[in-house]
Amino acid sequence: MAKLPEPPDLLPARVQTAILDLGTPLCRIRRALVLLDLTGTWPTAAGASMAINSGPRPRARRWSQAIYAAYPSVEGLLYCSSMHANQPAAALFERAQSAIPPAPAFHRALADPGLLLRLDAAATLLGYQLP
Amino acid sequence: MVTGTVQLSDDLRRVLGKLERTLAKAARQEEPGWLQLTRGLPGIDGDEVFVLVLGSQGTVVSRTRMTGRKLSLRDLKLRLAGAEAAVRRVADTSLGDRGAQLAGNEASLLDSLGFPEPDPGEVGANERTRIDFDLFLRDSLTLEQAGKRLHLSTGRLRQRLGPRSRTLYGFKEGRAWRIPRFQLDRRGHLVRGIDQVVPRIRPDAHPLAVARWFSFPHQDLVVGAGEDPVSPLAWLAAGGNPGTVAELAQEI
Repeated sequence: MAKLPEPPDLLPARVQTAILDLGTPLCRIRRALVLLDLTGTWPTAAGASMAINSGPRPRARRWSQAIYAAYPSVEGLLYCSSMHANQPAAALFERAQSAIPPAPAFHRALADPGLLLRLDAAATLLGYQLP
Repeated sequence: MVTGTVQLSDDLRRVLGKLERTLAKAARQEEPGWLQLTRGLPGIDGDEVFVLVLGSQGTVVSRTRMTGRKLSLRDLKLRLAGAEAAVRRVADTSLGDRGAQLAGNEASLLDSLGFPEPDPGEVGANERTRIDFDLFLRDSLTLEQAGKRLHLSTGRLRQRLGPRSRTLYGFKEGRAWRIPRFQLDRRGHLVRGIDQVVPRIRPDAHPLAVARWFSFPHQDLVVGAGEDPVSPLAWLAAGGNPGTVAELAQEI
C-alpha cells in the first residue's frame, strides 16, 4: 500500500455537521469527532477507490489500519454504507471512546418481546427473513 | 396493495370460466385442481407466477417473476404449498400475541427514528419467514432420500450430521433429520468442499439463515477484475478455496 497523502477532508467542523446529521437520540455523541471522510475524493487521492467502501472487508480493514497508523488525530471513518443505499455511516476507532455517552438512551436486546413488532416492520422493509 | 376493477378481455373471461370449473372440482375432491390451458394464460410470461387466494372476504392476487428461469410444475406446486401454509399455519398465531408493549417514551423514541410498528393489515417478515420455512422443510430431504442420492447408509449420514464429526448440514424437525438440498449440485453430488465449511457453522444457526448465506453473493468472495461477489456455493463449485468459505461461515 502506497504512502498515504495528507487527508484533504480533515475538516472537523464539516465532519461534525455530518455526524450531527447522522446522530440519533439513541446515542448522542458528547463532542465533535474528527473523522476521515471517505465519501468524497480522498480514497481516489490516496490511491484507492470508492471500492474501499463496499468491496471485500479484508481490504477495507487493511486501509483502516493504515489510516489509523498514519493519522493519530483521526478518530474514525466516515464512509458510504453499502447496506443502506450509500448513506453516510461512521466507524469509530477506540480514540473516540470519550465522545460516546456512558449509556444509550434506549437499550434492549434484539430478542426483547417489546421489539418484535418493530423488528418485523424493519425486516419487511429490508426484505429480510425474521424466524 | 393495489385494488380496483379490471375490464376482462374475452380471452380472460374464457380462462376464468375454466378456472371456475376447476375450483368447483377442487372443492368436491378436496384435492389440488390442475388446470391446463392449451395456449397458456394471456399476458403471463414463462417466468411469472400468479397466486390467487379466494375466500369469503374477497380475493387477493399476487404476481411474482422468477428472474431468468422458466417455471416448472414443481415450482407452481411449491407456490400452492406456500399459500396453503399461509392459510393453515400462519393464521394460527399472530406476531402481536408474542410481542410486548414498550414504555410510552421508548415507543415514541423509536417512532421518531423511523422504526415504527407494522401495519397490522399487512403480511410481515415473520409470517413470510414461517411460510418460507414451511416450503424449505418440504423441499429438504429425509435421511432415507439423502442416503439414496449420496449412496450412503442412514447410519453414516447420522455420523456426518452429528456434533462429533459434522461434515453435512442438517437440522432436526421434531425427532427426524432434514437435509437441505442446497448442499447438492445438479448431479445430486455434494458441493465440493462443503464438508470443510459445515463444521464452522454455529449449531444453533437458523436453517433458513444458513441456506440464505450459502446462496447469496458474499461481499468477501469476489472473482475477476470487476471483483464480482459470488455466493459461497458458487465459489465452492467453481473450485474456490473451501478454507476461505469456512472462515466466513463463522459469521452465520
